[in-house]
Amino acid sequence: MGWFDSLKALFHIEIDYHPTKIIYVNSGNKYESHDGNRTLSLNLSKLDHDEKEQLKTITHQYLDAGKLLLEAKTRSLLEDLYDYNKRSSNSSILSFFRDIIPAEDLEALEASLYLREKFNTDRTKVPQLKDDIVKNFGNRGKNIANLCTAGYFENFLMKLYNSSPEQFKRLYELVVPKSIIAVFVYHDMTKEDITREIDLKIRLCKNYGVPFMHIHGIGTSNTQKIKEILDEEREYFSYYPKRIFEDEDKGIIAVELLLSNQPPTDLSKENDNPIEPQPE
Amino acid sequence: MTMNEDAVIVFDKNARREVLDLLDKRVDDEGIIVEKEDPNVHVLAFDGTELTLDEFGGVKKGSEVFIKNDLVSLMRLARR
Repeated sequence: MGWFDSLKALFHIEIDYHPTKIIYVNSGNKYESHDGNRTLSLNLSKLDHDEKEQLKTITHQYLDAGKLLLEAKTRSLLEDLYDYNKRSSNSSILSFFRDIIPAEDLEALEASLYLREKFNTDRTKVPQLKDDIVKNFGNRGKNIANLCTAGYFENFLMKLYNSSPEQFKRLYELVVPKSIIAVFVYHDMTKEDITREIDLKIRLCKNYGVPFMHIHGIGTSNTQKIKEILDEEREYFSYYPKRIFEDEDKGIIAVELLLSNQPPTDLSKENDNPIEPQPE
Repeated sequence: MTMNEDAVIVFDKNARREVLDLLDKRVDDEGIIVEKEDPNVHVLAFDGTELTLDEFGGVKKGSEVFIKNDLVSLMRLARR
């Protein structure tokens, strides 16, 4: 008798094999069927000792049949990853970087490309997915996720490598760990935090010969903060030719500063940021 | 591997402890999943790291391979 027949016999229930979902829960009745017997909930906390022992055997039979026993949410994410792997066109990006960036960065990039797709299709999942990337790859992973979502891997790093592998090697270790080419504005950053970071990154970009610096914001409040800074510090920003890209429907703003001119004073009043340019 | 399976068992987040019990595992005082018979033996995920109750996403074949529920772990699993 297979695991499914054993399960039916244990609870004296008649359900069809295809395509039934059995959910182990710990609340409600001992067992309940839903969706015309296509879903069966089993409350494990209401099973007596004998039933639990039998279910243990059935669960092992299920696993021995090569099936995965997963939390519902985990299964849903895994199913989506299988689908994503089939439909995604991102494999060419990973192939390009496979031999030129560290293996851990490549894995963070792979996860970030999936995150980017969710950002464009289902933003409710984005905070948890980004937390997972940060948990696994730390601040470097967070920067890779930000840079990837904003398109820097294809639109900057790929082109940089194609034009000069040496320049790529020199800049990659500044761009990824310190994200020197862009300021990503978060909801918990004050305007002072943002202006300090803008000033720092402009100086870093200039030190390393990067001719631009970008400011990115997502969401109404971040977009508003960036606009207010551009307005309040307009004298400072007037020294840099700039282009502003805004998509109100998506709630996105990106500001490109072209670093050809030198401002008279630092934007930041407090220059206490511990990050300093690395020696070449 | 694909997910094309016609009948499946999944579990609710709130039933994690009961599922571990079915697999002869339990959670120690520090929240780490251990063998029920020998709490000194930590259960390992397929990447060789121990896992907490919060990280427990499931198991495959013979309860030998425990699965974490985060994106990176599942991405590695989907690649296999």
